Amino acid sequence: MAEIYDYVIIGSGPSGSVLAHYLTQAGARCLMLEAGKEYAADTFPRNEMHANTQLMWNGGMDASRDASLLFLRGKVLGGGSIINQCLLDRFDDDALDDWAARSGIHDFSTVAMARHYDEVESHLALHTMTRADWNRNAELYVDGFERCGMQWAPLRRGQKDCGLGNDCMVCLGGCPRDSKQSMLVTFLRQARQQGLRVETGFEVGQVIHGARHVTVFGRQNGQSRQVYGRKCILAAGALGTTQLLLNSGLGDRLPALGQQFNCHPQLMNVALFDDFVDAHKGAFQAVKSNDPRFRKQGFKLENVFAGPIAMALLAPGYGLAHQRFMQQYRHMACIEVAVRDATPGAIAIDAQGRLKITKTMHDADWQRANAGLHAVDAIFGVLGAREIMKSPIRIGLHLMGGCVIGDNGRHSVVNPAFEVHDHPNLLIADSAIFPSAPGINPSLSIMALAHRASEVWLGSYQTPATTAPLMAEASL
Amino acid sequence: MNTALESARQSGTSHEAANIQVRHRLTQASLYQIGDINAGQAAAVFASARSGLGALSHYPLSARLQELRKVRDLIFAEREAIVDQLVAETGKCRTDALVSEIMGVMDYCDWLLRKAPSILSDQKVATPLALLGKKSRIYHEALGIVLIISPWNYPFHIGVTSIFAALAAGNSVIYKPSELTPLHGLLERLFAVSPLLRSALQVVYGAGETAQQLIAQRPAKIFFTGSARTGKRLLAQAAPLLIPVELELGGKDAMLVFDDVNLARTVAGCLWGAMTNAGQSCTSVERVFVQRTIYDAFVRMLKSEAEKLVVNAGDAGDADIGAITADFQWEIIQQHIQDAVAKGARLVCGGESLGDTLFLMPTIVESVNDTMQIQTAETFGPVLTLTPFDTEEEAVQLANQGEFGLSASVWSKDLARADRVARLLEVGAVSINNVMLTEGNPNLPFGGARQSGFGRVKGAEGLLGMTRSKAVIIDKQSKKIEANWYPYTHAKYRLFGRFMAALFGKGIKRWFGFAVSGVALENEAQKPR
Ligand SMILES: Cc1cc2nc3c(=O)[nH]c(=O)nc-3n(C[C@H](O)[C@H](O)[C@H](O)COP(=O)(O)OP(=O)(O)OC[C@H]3O[C@@H](n4cnc5c(N)ncnc54)[C@H](O)[C@@H]3O)c2cc1C
Repeated sequence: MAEIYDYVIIGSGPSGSVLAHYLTQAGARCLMLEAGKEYAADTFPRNEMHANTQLMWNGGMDASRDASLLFLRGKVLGGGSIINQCLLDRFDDDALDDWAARSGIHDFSTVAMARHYDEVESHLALHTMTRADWNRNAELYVDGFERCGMQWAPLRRGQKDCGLGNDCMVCLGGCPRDSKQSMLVTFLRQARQQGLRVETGFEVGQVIHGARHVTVFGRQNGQSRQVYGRKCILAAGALGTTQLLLNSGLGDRLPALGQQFNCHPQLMNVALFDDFVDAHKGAFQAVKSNDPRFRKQGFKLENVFAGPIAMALLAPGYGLAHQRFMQQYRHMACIEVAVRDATPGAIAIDAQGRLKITKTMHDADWQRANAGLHAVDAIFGVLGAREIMKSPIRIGLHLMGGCVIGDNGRHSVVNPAFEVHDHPNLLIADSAIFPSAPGINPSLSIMALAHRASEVWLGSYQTPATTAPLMAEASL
Repeated sequence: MNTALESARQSGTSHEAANIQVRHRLTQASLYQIGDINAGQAAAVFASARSGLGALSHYPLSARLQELRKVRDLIFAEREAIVDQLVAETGKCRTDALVSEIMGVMDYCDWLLRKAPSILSDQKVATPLALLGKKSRIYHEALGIVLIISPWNYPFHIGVTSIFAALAAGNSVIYKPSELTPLHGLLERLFAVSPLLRSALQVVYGAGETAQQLIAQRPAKIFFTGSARTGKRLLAQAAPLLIPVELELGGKDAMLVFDDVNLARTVAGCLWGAMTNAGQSCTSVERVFVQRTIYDAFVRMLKSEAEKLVVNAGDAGDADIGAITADFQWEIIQQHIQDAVAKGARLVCGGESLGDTLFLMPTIVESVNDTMQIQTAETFGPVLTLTPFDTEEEAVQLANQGEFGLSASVWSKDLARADRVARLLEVGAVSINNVMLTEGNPNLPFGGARQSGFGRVKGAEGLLGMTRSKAVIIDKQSKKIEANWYPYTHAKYRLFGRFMAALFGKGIKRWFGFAVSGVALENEAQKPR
């Protein structure tokens, strides 16, 4: 008998892994397919370059069509949770109310979602950064905020026994200490203990929906392969899930497919100080902006830094000028502006099935970005920065939308039961279903939504009969 | 192929009404019930067919065709809804339903509309010299009430093309679809656009019992498509009633691959020929014979391509292999595979069901021999066997083994060789460098040799099979007495001798004798004894 799983899960990021946990816990037979490879604490690439090429799609360089935005997304077992910062925030009323209004789903509220947040948080070691975790970059950030009368708050991060001083930046290339609460050490590990089967290096190309099962077609190690599930969960991330549905030819039937793509565009700003900042040392991020005015204006300021390769991108050029810039690496402080998108982009594919992402920052987005940049100028100004450099590029790390959830088939792709409209065996509860940009770190909410989806599905879930075809009764 | 009668027997159908549950093949949801009819109901069906009969055959052919065009147009307009119903009752994949069933019907219908006028209209034929002055005609007349019994594998295509041909010819049709895939109400609805045709078509639902009741009512002819086993039983019932029968039965069709082929194309053709409609075609490829020099390469590529086939009915036309439609067939397929493996055959791939569904993984078997059912009996599933051969003679001999002879395909760059082989195959159809393609041309007749049945559907031959030809000869009114009429006299006898010598003898001079003796005979005929 060729295996037919209860659920085939495509993608192993926060969505896929959390779903795998709750579904296997309920006794469902699940197969997870992941395009990337599996790494462990002691096998993660040891430098920034290899982290990009080995753990990310296209070497970390999906670009918008006009190349004004670069998108980073994980291609590795554990998905984005391997390469992210693991800052875990709940959505606020502002974000969820907007979702409820757009989707027609009233359970998008802090009250109704609290249960799901509580549940997934109970599986994660959460650490709220204290003063002891601050490095100089954080100290400058807080100092600047207080002098400018802006509100800040400590960050909450998924980490466990991170060691003295949180002293490594490499966790963006996979945590070598099993401390960062990636899926690999949390939900995915549990799901595997509960019988989840995982296949890596399996890139799904197409899903074929049928009345009773879904055929999942792809390639693994150069070989065509297909697997079968009664249900197929697309958890390949906003870009991956949307691309997969488009490549499966569902564009005609789902008018909203590919729409509402948001990415929280980020602009890194570096200030040079006379003293050493050594922002690469200690906790990489410790504090965040918490100013209601910022929220209203649609941006956040991130206390963040980057490795030398990423930094080098901020000062394009050759020779002496570039050398001088990089020489000042230890003198750099950094504050990033993260924009809550005002204008969504769109995800499409070309004739070869490759991604074609349209995402331009329009005037409304620039107003938000500029408000943030002004704040950064003010902060670095009061701190007495020698020089302030604005980012020449913008990156998107929080990729969201493309298959948004809602009760209306013309404006959404996924119904409130997390099923693709008119395709009851295709399920989605990943970052692709976000109806709009929340302006808040998304991954905890992806997990909470996944928990909610698992409850919805398991409510109707019944152990399938394992007997052979209904021979007796249909033989007439 | 298997049918009504057969499955009825297997399950011991009772005589109660509405005892047959039709289910959605994929979801197993109950769709509706049908029941067998009894003798009284069969008589009533024939009575109402008889009343409709006069109507249709009295309309001119052009009018009948005009009416058929309305049905054709409706089928075209409703194609997606028809595909939905087909997929629901058969479990086949959408593309199989659309292309093989709907497109096949459209193709045939357009051919019929174009060609029927020349094939069915009165035919003038030559009159021999001896019958000088007379005219000869053939009228292709309706048979009367014909009974069409169709199978479950192409419930729409086989049913509708036969019905179209029968109605074009002016017959009244009693149509019994398979009880596994009755497509309840569909034909009634489609034909309702033409009240004239609708009155000439009676759709009767039921299983074997129903078929028997209908045959007992003495239709003018029976058109049966199904298994050899059921075909024989049906023929036995029809024989004492002297009802002519056309039988389109099963096959164990061979594909012969010589070593000068384009491998990729041939492999693709092989897979489609074996797996289309999940192998549930009477002409699907079941035995593949491959020249030994390319055997290994062929098997390798076949396996890797087979593994790419998408097993699903799909709901958007992007799945390759649909479900097995009949439960008893499912068992036969499984049994053939088990029997083969038990006797030493090797599974190249497949051989298993997809979980607990009614889908079978595409199955390729090698190291087979004629002690195995998989090599001799019709499997009728997504299954093919592979056998290497060395010479052309061996290939022909292997292909001709067994009792069936429906169709075959020959693959070679050397068209002379392909033609040689095609002529030696004891089958009703051969595709050269293609597969299952003769069915694709409505000009070509369709039918088998040996245990695959007799009679032809499709083509001019098939259309004429829906008619009885009436021979007519026309002479003028006159006082002339024919020479061969009475009285027989000595003189006439001698003159007939000379006349025959002139007609059938040798030499150019005989034509003079022909004229002389002809005139003499005619004069002699006018004399009294
Ligand atoms: C550098 C960085 C830092 C970030 N920091 C934070 C943070 O601090 N806090 C936060 O909340 N969020 C953060 N994010 C964002 C967060 O990681 C993502 O939003 C989240 O991982 C999305 O989860 P997902 O399950 O929807 O998809 P993903 O995590 O992207 O998982 C999708 C998986 O599917 C796989 N896949 C895709 N296509 C296919 C296919 N065709 N076949 C098979 N597999 C496929 C991918 O390889 C991937 O592993 C960060 C992201 C980045 C890049």
